[in-house]
Amino acid sequence: MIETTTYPGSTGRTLSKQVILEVRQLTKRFPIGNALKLRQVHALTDATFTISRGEVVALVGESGSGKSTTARLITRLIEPTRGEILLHGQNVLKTEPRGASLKYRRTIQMIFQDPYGSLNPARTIGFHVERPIKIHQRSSHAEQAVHELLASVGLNPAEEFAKKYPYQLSGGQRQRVAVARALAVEPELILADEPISMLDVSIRMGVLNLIEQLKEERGIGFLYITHDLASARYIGDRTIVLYAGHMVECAESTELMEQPAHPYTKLLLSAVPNPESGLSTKTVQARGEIPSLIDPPPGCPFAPRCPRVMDICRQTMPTATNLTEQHWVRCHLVGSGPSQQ
Amino acid sequence: MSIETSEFVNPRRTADGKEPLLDINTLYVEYLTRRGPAKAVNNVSFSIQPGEVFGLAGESGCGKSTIAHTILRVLKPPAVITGGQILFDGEDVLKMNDRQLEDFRWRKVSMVFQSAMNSLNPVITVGEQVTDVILRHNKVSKKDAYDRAAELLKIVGIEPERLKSFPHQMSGGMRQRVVIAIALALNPAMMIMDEPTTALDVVVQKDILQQIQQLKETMGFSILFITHDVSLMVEFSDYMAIMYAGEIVEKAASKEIFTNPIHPYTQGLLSSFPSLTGKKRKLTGIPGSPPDLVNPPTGCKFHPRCTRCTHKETEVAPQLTEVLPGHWVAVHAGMPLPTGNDRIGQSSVAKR
Amino acid sequence: MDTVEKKLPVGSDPKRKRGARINIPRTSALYTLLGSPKARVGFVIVMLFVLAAIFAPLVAPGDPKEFVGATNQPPSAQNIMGTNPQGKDVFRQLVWGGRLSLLIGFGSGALMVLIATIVGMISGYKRGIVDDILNFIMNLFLVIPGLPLLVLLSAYLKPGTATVIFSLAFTGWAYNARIIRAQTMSLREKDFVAAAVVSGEPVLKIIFVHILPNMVNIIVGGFIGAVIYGIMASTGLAFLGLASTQDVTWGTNLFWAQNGGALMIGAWWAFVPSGLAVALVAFGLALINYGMDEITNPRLIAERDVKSVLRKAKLPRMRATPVVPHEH
Repeated sequence: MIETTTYPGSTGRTLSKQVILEVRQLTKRFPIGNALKLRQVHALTDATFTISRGEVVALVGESGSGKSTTARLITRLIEPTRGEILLHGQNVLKTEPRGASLKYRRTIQMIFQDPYGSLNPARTIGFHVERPIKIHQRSSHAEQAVHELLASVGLNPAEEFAKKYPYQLSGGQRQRVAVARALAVEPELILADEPISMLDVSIRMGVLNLIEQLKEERGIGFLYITHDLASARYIGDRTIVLYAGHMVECAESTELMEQPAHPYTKLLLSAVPNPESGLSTKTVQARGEIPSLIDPPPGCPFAPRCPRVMDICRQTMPTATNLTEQHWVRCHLVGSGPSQQ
Repeated sequence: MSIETSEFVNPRRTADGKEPLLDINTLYVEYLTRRGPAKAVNNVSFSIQPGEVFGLAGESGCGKSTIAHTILRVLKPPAVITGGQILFDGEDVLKMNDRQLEDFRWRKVSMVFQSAMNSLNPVITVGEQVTDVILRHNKVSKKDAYDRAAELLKIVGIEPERLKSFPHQMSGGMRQRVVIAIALALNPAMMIMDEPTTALDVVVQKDILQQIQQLKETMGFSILFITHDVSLMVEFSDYMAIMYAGEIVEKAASKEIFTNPIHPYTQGLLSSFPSLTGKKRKLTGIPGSPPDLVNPPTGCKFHPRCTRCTHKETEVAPQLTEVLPGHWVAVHAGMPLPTGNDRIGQSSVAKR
Repeated sequence: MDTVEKKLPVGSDPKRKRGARINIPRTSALYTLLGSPKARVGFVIVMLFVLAAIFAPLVAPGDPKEFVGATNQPPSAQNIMGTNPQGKDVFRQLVWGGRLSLLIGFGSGALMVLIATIVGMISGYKRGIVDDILNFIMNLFLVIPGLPLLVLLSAYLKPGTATVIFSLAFTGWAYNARIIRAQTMSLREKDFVAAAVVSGEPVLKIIFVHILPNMVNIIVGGFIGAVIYGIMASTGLAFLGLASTQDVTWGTNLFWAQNGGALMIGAWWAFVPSGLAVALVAFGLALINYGMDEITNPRLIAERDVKSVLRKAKLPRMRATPVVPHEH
């Protein structure tokens, strides 16, 4: 599964498929309630995927789907209940049981959703970009490195930006600072947790294009977390759909949008605003909302809302079925077992 | 779905299509800051017909939320209204005193605020919050108010048993429906909705908007719909205006704006939304950032970011001109119009 | 760094001086300290006393403990504030007393806040057993009655300035610690802290290099409150006779005045100056605190600005957004 065509690639799809990160059966449960009645929030269950060099994997889900939990697990801000995180093939939960090592921190970085909260209001921009350099001793000329990084994300003149404070920058500029900060350690993988959803519409594309540029020029892998299918298609090479903590479908982005297999994916696609057809278009009939994640019943989490639910759906969670080599889905309607068609 | 609302109905002029329900003329609103006044709304005029869904689109700082709050006169300090009229059914809202405003608010025009679903009182049941509004404006018995509240919840799609629930026991979508029910409580002639579905998931969003559309058909109110999501707005509204830096730059029927955007800002805005289907094109959005409203650019406020115009208008402010029937654009001298019209000269048509 | 030109808004208050300009970086603590008129007044008051104390040999030359003449003399050309029941010059006692009083106040305030910050921030940031233990200690000190403990400590320890500073800090640190802990707990959830963790920043650096600069307002406010407490409490202790009677402080001045029956004789000049000094310094410090609150709460300023605009345009006060027509 690991083709190692030599890197550097030049454009788009011909990049090497060298896997950076693999997560297997990643699960997180949060205890809630008191000692008399202990219950658990099943925030994420059995997440399994890989991210390779120069690849953008889009993780799509609505609120409560577990996408933020996934990001926090991979950056090891929280520890999983079960599962493995393999960095370059090594399970870091075994090799670094007490928390992430500096090497791990150098390899995996993150961009946060809120451009106003992810920068320290009491510190200059230069401080933010300089800290990772100093911590990991990336360069002996920190100031120059800071300026280069700021320039590389489009913040020019870099010397002036380095002296400014966050409140003097716009939302889009702050997100670029966040990218520069992530780049300071020269990571192999960057998690972008809804990086554009809080930005003004006209500057979103600029940030997405920056991510695309970094992927192509530096071969950085990205996990792009979003609730917006359109941007997932725009920037993601592969898209994974999350529902109530479970991964239900994964495919190459365009194929997912054009040939959705899971009923939830179809519902999501039909609900995205489409100016050409108007509101009264075919909404896949599925009322109701995302179920509670507290001690959920067995079976497929989408069963309560699925228009084509069967008895087996309420009893067992479907296993992944491969529709094509790149496209798998977890749905009893498509049959469980070895590949079909 | 008929609703017994005999004592709650507000006498409303029948829509004859000619007289607008809401008529805003040359509105100016400023925010007083340490560096000087910020012109948040600068010479804005538009009108809304009865039963129409009017959309106000733009990004943060364009003034759309300010206008919404100004209609109800609920802007907080340091905002000051410095000119213009807001005519509702012929009466100027800007000339009303506190008592007249009490009659006006919620009875004639109500509002669903941004993130309103997070502003429900967490320690009071949902039912009480709805009946509070009813009782505040009508001298009816508690039981009647309660019955009316149950009705309202039903028409927004919530079981009446939920009157006894607390906000934290309901999902985000349900809470937003409650807020909408509260806005409909007195059967207003117009409802203002400021980013009503931004914090909601896309499936819930569609559900709620479809419900509101149905209600609009049956109850006959107009909607002033404010959002930054232009594709959503084109779906939902009949007529829309695009705002930038406190001014309207383009005004037309929604479909028209989507298929034939003329102003460079509108074009830039529409090219910021990647599509789900069709060929993948590289999108750029709009370079730069919105201007400082205390010291905005002179002339055309968009000119520092505009990539379409070779002639940058920096002296005279552009005028809103009807370049096609029903389609208004803020044009300046020498601005190329891609629809084949001749270039607009110095003379301009009075704005609507 | 950005500088702020404090030009007045449209329709300014005619009572204020026009165009007062101060160039201070907007995010610095100094701006918060001096940015409002209340704060400036308070600052002036406090500085008056501080400077008088520092330059005591120039302001009130001579030994304050020197016996200068008859007891209980009213103010005269010779002793501008008269003499106290022990025949000492009141003015000298006032000015020299300020030295120790202010030293004790600022010293104990600083120590209190230092302990409070370290304990509060570590407790607020770390979860688990560390927080549990530190929180328990904090609560313990909050629950133990302060004044009796203070009295006990003063009685048993060697009398002197250091004892007073230590006792005050020992009994008073927990109050601020709790506030600092709460604020740290709230800041800990911010994304920029998570970003620092993901960058690989060690815990102590996160607390004191990333989070601490965001708490300067609270810490300075806490410090000022602690100084007020320090001055008042030490004055109170001294008045009760629990401080070293060899020292000259405002508190001991009051003690000696009361001891010698100045109240009964009606020799007000013996105790009013020191009492007034304590009150004025506390007042000045409180003003600084209020002024700082104003700066950090822009809503108050916004409301004031609009009110002055309305007043100028002679419009009635309304709860609705006001309409003030302008030429356009």
